[in-house]
Amino acid sequence: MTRNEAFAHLSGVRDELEAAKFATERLLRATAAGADDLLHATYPVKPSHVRTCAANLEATYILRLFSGFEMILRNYLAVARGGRRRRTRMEIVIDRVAVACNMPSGILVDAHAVREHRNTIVHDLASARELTFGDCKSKLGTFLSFLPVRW
Amino acid sequence: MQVPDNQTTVRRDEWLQLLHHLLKQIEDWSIAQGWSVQRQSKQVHDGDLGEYTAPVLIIRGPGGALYVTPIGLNIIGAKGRVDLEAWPTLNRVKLLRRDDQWHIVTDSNVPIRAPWNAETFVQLVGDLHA
Repeated sequence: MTRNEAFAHLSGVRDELEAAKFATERLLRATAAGADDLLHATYPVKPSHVRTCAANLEATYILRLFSGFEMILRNYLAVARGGRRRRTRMEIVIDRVAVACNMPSGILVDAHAVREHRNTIVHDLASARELTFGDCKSKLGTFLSFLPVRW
Repeated sequence: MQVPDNQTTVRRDEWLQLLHHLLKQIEDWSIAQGWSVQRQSKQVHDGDLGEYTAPVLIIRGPGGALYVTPIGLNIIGAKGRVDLEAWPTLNRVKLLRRDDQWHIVTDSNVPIRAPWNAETFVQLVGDLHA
């Protein structure tokens, strides 16, 4: 895998989020203006479903972002260990990659903040408000920038 | 393949001229800061303007890299768009051409109400890398 591929994954999730925001906002505006687009849905979708979807988009895509980040780090560690994959907890995976790539402690702390935020989203979505998608993307991107160009 | 008519060719040439002017401006501001600037090019598929080669800038400063990438002239709500994307944060803003001026707009479509000049650009680069 290359570092560029890792970044393409993160930016791909960001672009999907932007597309989803654009689509939901447009649909909500059209529905508010009297358009009957929702009637054409194969599943009964109400405007309230779309509003909830729009409100939770960032949290949903933070999960996608983090799962991509996890896949990248596990791939890196597996290659570094000669192809062995383990079911190590993500907290430890982040620590090991940070040590292997000589990262400053602040970068490691930021990555753990995103991991904890991701856990909050999974277990208690309503209280997950401390980081935005942009914050998470920026912190995880900075962490990934310390990986080698190719592994 | 669709052959562009004269009017389309004129619009495309004017757009490319605008792009060259903008990128030269950004290049000069970056060099004044002591940042290195690399020029590349990309193919743009731009609706009725067809396909053309546009310049791209990669600027390397203390916070990381900044990619200045033309997106196209045919944009909903604007007459041209150029993206500024920071690496490694992947933070991005759009420059949208409206009323013959460049306007800075965030990914969430919030306009940044600051004039497009060297001071704003340098501050923006810092913010994109934060």
